[in-house]
Amino acid sequence: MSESLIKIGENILGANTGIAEQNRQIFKQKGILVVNLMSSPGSGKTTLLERTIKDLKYELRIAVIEGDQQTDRDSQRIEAAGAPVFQINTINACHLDANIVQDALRHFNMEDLDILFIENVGNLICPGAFDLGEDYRAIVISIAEGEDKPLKYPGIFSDSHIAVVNKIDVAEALEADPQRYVSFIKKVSPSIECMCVSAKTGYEMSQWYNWLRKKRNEKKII
Amino acid sequence: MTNMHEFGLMKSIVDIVYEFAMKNRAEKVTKIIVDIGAISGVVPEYLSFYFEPCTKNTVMEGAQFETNLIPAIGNCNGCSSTFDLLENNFVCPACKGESWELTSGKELNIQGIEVI
Repeated sequence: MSESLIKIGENILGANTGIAEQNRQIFKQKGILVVNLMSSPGSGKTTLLERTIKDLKYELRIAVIEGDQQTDRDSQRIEAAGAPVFQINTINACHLDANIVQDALRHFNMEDLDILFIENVGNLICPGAFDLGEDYRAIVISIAEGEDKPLKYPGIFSDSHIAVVNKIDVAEALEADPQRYVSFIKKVSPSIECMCVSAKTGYEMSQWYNWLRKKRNEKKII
Repeated sequence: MTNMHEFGLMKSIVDIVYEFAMKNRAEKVTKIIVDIGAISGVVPEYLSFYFEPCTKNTVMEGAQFETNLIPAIGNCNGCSSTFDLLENNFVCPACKGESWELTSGKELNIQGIEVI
């Protein structure tokens, strides 16, 4: 028997992308802004969400899908801040995928939402490969992580829309220059939008809120 | 062993290849070629590691698994030249510009298979 070559040319993640497109359609129909939050562990994603919910909950209806390998510690914090939350424990997996997100949607009243945050598993590699159907990918990096993280993990920065440099309140103690973080992020992702905040103290959080308001208004069904 | 995302990707590869092999009435798949972008977040060695366990007792068992690394290429917004981003530290070697559009490097594709 002779060997023959079959061209395939198919995306390995095609099945995930298909489900992500379904999610995107659902979000579009409901007019919900969806933000996929990614970062390394400990960058302050949950703290950023806690403060965002506390500060905006009387203005915008926010819900959160929490992705962690284990525990519901983060979802308890989100719930205490005052937003509906659904916790996904990925157990051994290192990222969320579109199917897991679609499954989580039934836990929310989708008619009653303005913004859905998907807090991805803390990891700078794997989550970047999986489209969840989100409108925007936000990458959170804390000033304590080292300014060269973007150079070491360019993939996840290169297709994020916005970068939030967090924990600016401790920059001085760490002798870290926030602008160097911004320049390294821009180096691997020239068109990304950057902002430096402290989710703990609230410093410059209005920048983040204004970005959310603007994107929400663009998505809203009038 | 932690379920790295390469494991899930390998299962997707196996599913897609199986479908094509069946459609083409292949008796055996002898080679699988996949394209992996340099900044796709996928480590070719990790992916290859899962090939054997994922293909046991399938038409793909014993096939050659080939990964083809696609460089991360930027198209300079300043002078329009294209360059390898990782080799040039994300700076255009021609004009030293730091503004560019990504043209490749995120690929995760099955290029093709060889069958008998």
